[in-house]
Amino acid sequence: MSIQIRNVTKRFGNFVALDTVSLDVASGELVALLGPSGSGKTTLLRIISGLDAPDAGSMILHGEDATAMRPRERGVGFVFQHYALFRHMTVFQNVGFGLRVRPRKLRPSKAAIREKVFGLLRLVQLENFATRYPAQLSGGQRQRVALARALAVEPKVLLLDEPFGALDAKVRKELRRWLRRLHDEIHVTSVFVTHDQEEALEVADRVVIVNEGRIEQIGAPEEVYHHPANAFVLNFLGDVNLFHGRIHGDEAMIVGHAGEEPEDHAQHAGRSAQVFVRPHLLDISIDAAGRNSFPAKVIHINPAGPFVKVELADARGAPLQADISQQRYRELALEKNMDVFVTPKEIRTFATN
Amino acid sequence: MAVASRHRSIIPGFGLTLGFTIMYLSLIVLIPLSTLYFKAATLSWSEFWHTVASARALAAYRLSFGASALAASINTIFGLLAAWVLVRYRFPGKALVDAVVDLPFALPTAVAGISLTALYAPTGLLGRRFEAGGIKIAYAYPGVVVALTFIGLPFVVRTLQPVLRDLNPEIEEAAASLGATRRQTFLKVLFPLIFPAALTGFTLAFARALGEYGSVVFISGNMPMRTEIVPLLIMTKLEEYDYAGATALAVSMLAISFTLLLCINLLQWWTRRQQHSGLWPSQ
Repeated sequence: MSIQIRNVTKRFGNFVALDTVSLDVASGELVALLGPSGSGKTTLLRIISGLDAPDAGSMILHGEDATAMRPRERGVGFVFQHYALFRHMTVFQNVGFGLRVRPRKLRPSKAAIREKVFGLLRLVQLENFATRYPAQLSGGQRQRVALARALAVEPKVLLLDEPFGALDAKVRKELRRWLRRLHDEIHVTSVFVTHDQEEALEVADRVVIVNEGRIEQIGAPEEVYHHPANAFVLNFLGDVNLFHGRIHGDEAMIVGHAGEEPEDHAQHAGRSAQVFVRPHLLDISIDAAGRNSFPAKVIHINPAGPFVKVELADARGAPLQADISQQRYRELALEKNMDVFVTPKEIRTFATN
Repeated sequence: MAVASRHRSIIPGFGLTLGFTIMYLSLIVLIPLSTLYFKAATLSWSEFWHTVASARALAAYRLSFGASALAASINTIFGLLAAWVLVRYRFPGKALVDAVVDLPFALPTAVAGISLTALYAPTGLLGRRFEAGGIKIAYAYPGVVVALTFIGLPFVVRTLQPVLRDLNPEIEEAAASLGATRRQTFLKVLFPLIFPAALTGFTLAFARALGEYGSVVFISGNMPMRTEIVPLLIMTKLEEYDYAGATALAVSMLAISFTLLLCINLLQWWTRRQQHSGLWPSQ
């Protein structure tokens, strides 16, 4: 089922949580709402679910205006960040709740409910936990119960609020891959909220980047990562080094450094710009490597991990970060306080006003 | 328990605190109560039985336990409502209403008894109207229930308030998103969660009502066999210098109360166990 959000605005007192937001989600899609905390992403999710009502704008579910519908009329399943399981019910009773509260005419028989619940428990790999209470489960298991409970009512749209936010890093990674596989299996239109860019880029078909109540960019993970629409998106999707520069013709100059960077931003000629370089695109060498190199001093080296993370300071003392391979690190024989040269391999510039 | 102390629990002072608790309970509760038994034991079995099972005593038990249970039930329902309103909504004068709930705690019960009597007597402001409708409140069974309800209300409200405040609103949202109506959400989700606390409130109000004396003597009219509560019967015995008879009644009252409270506590323990079954360690 498709979702169309049209010019939705939501205020809490003087705070504008959502500012005329529009978004389309196609049927069967898995979309991530990504943004820092307080950006309005959870508010948007709650408006889709009907738990909150927008101050202005409309919501269309599968071609039908749902703005005034109650949550239970919308056919949405909602998975809460802290699971919101009913602690006085067993796992079985939790998952079957949505079926048991149906009006008598629509309520499945006891046997049908049992079959459905066990089917879902198999899906979330918790068949043997049916008689346990939520207090007897781990965080990851509780989250899977919450998911099964939401799926039991066969929602046309599945909404997940920071579904893995309260879990430890390892369980989180396992569970998000599992969610992706689950989605490939059942293909229910899903929207999930996260502040973890890695999670959004790994799981979603499309990523919606939200900031201060507005949508900054919508696109496939590789699209938003490699072609960020603006400085915020670039900044939010991973570590980055920021330089202040100036664009002349098709060249960008980093202010305060001899080095100049060619870039094809002719339309912004002569204007000041922000120049971004991702840490893994900043090379380190002992001698200057062409006119784009500039001097820096090694401040700290952390070789633990797939990359060696090197912290540097440029001639003006501004901090820089470079991620180099272990092999390159050994070749250079880097040490603390060494004077080196850094060379951006690829840069991205956004003109500033 | 011995195991806990031998294995050096992380929280120290188990022996000391338990010892102090038992000593304190003994001094304040057990020793005074045990003298009741010694005094009552001066009676022979037949004398004892004659006192505690007399028709007048039986009528008094019926009234005391019946009216107390009824008053505690009324308090549980309306106390839940009051606690709900105080926790869920914001309205002008909320702090004032919250303070009013505690008044029955603070008011000398005789004052409560006198004012309730003045209000509900056949000539009183409210009593007049009920009298016109053929309902007698003061000097009758309803009067006893009114007085016992008055003194028990704060117990229920104050027990339920923190529990209602701690209910996670997401629980209700989850139920709503799963298709439950408001009614279903309350009956199937909220009520089971607040039931143990409601039961505690009921128990406290019930226990308080059983022991109440001051307010009831004014409003009940104290007619033997009809509106005479057990504490009053005990007072009457004392005034007749029948100390052994008074303690015999007290002992039987104590035994019944203790049994009832124990049963309620067991029920409570059972419902809590249902909710947090501890067979596996929770995380």
